[in-house]
Amino acid sequence: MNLFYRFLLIGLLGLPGLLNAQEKSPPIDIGKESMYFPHYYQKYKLQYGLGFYFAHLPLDWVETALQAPLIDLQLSFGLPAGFSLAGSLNTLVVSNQVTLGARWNFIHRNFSFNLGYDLGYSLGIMNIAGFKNTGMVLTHYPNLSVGFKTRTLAFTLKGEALIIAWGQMKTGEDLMSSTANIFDGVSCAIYMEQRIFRKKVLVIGLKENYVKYYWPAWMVFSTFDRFYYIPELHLLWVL
Amino acid sequence: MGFMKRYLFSLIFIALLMAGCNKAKEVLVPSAGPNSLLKETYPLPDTSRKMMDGIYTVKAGSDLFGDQVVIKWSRKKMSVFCSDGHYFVLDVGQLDSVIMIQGYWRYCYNDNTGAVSAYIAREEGGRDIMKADQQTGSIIIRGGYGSSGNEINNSLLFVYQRPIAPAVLSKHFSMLAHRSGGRTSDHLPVSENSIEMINFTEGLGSTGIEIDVQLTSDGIPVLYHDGDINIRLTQKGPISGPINDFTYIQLYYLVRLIHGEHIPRLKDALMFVVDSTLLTDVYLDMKEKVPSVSAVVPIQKEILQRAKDKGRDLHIYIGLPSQDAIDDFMNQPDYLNIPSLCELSTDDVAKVNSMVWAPRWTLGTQDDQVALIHSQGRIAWTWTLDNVNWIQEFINNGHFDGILTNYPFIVGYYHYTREN
Repeated sequence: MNLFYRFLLIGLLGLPGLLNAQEKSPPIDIGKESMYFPHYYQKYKLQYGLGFYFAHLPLDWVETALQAPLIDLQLSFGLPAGFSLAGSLNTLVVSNQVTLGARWNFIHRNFSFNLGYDLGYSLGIMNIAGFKNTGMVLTHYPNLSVGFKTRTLAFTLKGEALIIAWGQMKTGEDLMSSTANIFDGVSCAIYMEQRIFRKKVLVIGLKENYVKYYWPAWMVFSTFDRFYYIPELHLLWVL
Repeated sequence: MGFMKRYLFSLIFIALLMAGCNKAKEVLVPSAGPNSLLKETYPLPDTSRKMMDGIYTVKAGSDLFGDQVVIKWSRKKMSVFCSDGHYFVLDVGQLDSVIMIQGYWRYCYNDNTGAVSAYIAREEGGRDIMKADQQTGSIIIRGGYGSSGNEINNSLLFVYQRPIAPAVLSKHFSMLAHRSGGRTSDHLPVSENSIEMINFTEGLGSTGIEIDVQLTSDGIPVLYHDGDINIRLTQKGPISGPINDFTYIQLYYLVRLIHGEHIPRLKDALMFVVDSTLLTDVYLDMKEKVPSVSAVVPIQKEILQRAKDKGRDLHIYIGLPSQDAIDDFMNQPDYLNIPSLCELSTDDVAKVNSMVWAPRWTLGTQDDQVALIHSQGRIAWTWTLDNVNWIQEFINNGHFDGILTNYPFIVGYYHYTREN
């Protein structure tokens, strides 16, 4: 069984125990404690979550079932008038990305949505095993999220476009290759958030990327000019 | 709790669905079929074919194919190489000094393809080509191309600009095609590491091939890349698992490559190279799950002798990609005289007396190391270089003697357009 499905199975088997635990704690408004669900974030307060995600890379790129978990740090910072800042840091050691963006959030009863924009900078460095490469990419991520919450659960559907603003790769001592302004594709994600105990929330997310270039896999040097489906499975602990 | 579980199962179901969405795609090669214009024509003699080789200006069709292309004949196809990864594979015939051309174009980085039909009128170079008149003033290729199916709805016009520089033609620069000629993941009409691919690859511009060698459980070297029998490379069948667990007979009867071919024995593949192609270089990429050099050396020796007997200029190198492979190689008697290719350091190259040093392209052009290798009377190739910008950089600014690529037509374009 490859890692992706093993990870799914662990999530499936482990969750019922955690769910039992949450029923013994006093109720909270899940909408206010969640990470992805659009809501009015507490002003000037930082909220953060730590987790990881797996991506299933196309066989055309890696030719074998190759997966590695990326560490995932998510940050939100509340601003007045429904605005908030969002940031993230993802790393696979040889492949890293930091994003920073803004959101405008709106809530109507149990429904909510936000409109946002993030700018991502990814940096990859490989100086081992026959590689001497550095890759850098700047990506625009305009995004839209729609949320729905129940008493204990918050669901968020998030759509995103990926536009590569600029990219550069260095090989050996001095060879450079640059690219700019490329529509890379879109992604769609669904996140389910639930309090586990006290005010701690667990996020399970499934994200489907439909892209030509995928930053965590920069070191496979794919030259294909085709769109690929790349699913990701996210687990995040909102701290 | 039940509510949560229902949604959790739904999410997992969606995830499994999404993970299974990368379905293999087949690209249909446009073909004129029984209506081909060429069925009433006659093949061109070699002298005429050589006259058509050269650099052409694109007067119509430059939106897709760029301002300049290279035309180069191989054993049986006429190929057109463009600067950005477009290429043509064409059949050619003549009737009363009118040259008829038919085939298809393809873009290597995606699945775009279309039919091509063209001709050279008698007065626009056809007569000179058939007379093999070196003093010909010009060759004009007129025709059209399509962008889907067999339709042809765009104009194509190539005008002869100049011959390929004699210095370039006389230089031995190897354009080696990966996986016996091309990758299955590039949606080519034949499977990687097959005899059919070896037969196909010269039309893509390659002058050599890299092939992946593994041993069956009964010690027969065969061509196959992955460690196991899987549906990426083979059709669904009754067996799966490590290729080294099966005998050759089992593989022959129970496994078909993705386009229906058999997994070939190394010996059969190399015999085909000698007897049925004009390829000059073969790079045996040893997939060393188990020591296999001792099974390959006698085949290499036999095939090189066969090539020599036929007057063929053919080089077959045993690839040494790791220290384990070097150790295995050094266990062979007289290993210093066995033609080999070393992917490790230049010191390792000297240690095993490899004729070829082949570092990964990701280390750059490594001019000093290449100069050192040249000073020892050896040659240097780099692998596996597919990005058009990098190919251009390595050809224009590097000093390698060959490039291993999935796209030999791009290497061909930048090599043949050199001035010297």
